Amino acid sequence: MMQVAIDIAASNEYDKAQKSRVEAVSPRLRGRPLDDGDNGFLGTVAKQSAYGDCLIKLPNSPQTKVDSFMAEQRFEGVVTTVDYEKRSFWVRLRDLSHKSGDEEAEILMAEVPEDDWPLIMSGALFEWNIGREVRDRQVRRVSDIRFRRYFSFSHETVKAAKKKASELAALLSEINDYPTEYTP
Amino acid sequence: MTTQQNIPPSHDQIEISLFGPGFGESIVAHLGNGNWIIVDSCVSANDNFPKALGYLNQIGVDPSTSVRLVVASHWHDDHVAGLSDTLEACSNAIFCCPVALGKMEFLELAELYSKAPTALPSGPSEIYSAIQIAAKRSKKNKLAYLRYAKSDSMIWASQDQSTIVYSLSPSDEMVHRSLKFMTSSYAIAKLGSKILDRLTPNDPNDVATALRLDINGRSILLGSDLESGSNSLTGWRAVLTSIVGSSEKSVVYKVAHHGAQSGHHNNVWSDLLHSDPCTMITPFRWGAHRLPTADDRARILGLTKNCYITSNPNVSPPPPPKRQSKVEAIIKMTATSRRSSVGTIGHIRWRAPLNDLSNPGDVVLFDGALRLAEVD
Repeated sequence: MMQVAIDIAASNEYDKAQKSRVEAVSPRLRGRPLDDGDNGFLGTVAKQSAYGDCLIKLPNSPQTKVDSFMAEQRFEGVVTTVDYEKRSFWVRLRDLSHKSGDEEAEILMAEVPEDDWPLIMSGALFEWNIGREVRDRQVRRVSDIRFRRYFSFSHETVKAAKKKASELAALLSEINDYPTEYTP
Repeated sequence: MTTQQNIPPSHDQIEISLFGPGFGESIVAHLGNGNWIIVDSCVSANDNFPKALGYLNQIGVDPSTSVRLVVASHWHDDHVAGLSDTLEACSNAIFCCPVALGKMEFLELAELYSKAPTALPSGPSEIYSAIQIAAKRSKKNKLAYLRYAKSDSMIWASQDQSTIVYSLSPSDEMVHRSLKFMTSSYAIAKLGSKILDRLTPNDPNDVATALRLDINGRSILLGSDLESGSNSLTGWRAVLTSIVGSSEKSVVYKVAHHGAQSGHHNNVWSDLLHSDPCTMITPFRWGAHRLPTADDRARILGLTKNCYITSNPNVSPPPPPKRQSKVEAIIKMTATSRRSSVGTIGHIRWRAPLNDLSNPGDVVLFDGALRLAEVD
């Protein structure tokens, strides 16, 4: 069971993750299990503080599980320009599913989860997957744009890159002493 | 079927062919006597095949024996697509790139970026691959197949020295700035980032290599994406005061930076070009950006009427191929203004006799190339 502290003064909050409405709970409900008929959520009032707010135990997240996702089209994209007035951004797309040429497109910011909006800037990379999702035995087609949140090279990768670059630099230095075919 | 486009130049004809699909640029030049060079690279949308190689195949020229020099003027993606494949096919060609790209600062950064988990093209990766090809070729043959471009440098010459390819940039100051940029980019890349920002050259184009081809008394200026310069040590301002840069006037000019104001300097037209030069431009489409703009076109047409562009910058490339209908419906709901990033590759071809300097040559246009004055 998940515990959620609720401030009675801040009632009617929406819990986005739960997609459930969490309301202030009357102190009179302490210790009572709650169902849909009581303020719109399931849970048990765990305890009540002196200030009147309640600790509510809610059942495990009602999030449904994605059973499977079959991608029918995958793109990798990079943002080229952003138009903050139009609230849109231009992208270059590389088709990862077929051997076709790159594309350009304009996408409205509304197509991207709000949490990702700060990531929308020139040079930002994202994946765009379109396919069939099976969730709770329901099949639906989805379009999912996800921005890369974090990227880093491991220490070993950096070290290996430095070594390889050094070897090439040494070879380039050696080549500087070679004769040229047409000597100016 | 023989068309005019399939006919190769004769041994005593110079040719400058400029290709541009709207995103991308490549120059294929015949210097006379079977000597060919390629400057920058772009690919066809259909098959990702380098246009320069496609053209040479079309006119029956074997790139493995005839191409003497492949130049990467800088590392913008639109100038290097297909570059390493091109160099691989031109198996006897020298590779030339801006001098900063042969330094450890670039090699470390490019090696790191080659490990980045992205399928998207990267200018540094293409140039890095080309450098590796040239290095292997050099080691195998014990000849230097790698040259570095910097101001006032001779990078190739014919055996009788009647034809010389000069690089006019980058200047020492530009090299210094670009090395500084690469060092700081490498430090950032090692730490990781919230987003992976593809490596692109900083503004201005500090590594851009402008070239001049001096062919039997006639000169051709290829402007790359060189910008006007923030001071007398950079950009065109540095070229105008350099020894080689200011020594000859050219009759043909591949306009710098897609005709943009940033690539313009009045004294390039007055000091480095003959009057009314044959002028060629490739357009640039990048998201909502379009070059040359209407103002750019008006400015250039005020300087020469003899101007051509490989395709209309205001005409969008064709729509991309359709996917299966339900997927296509979702794509349409999500993305607006969708198009292929690369359109038809327009071709401007200038040819002139090698030994007759009084003949200005002639221009033939193919595949949608048009006079700049016809762009609306």
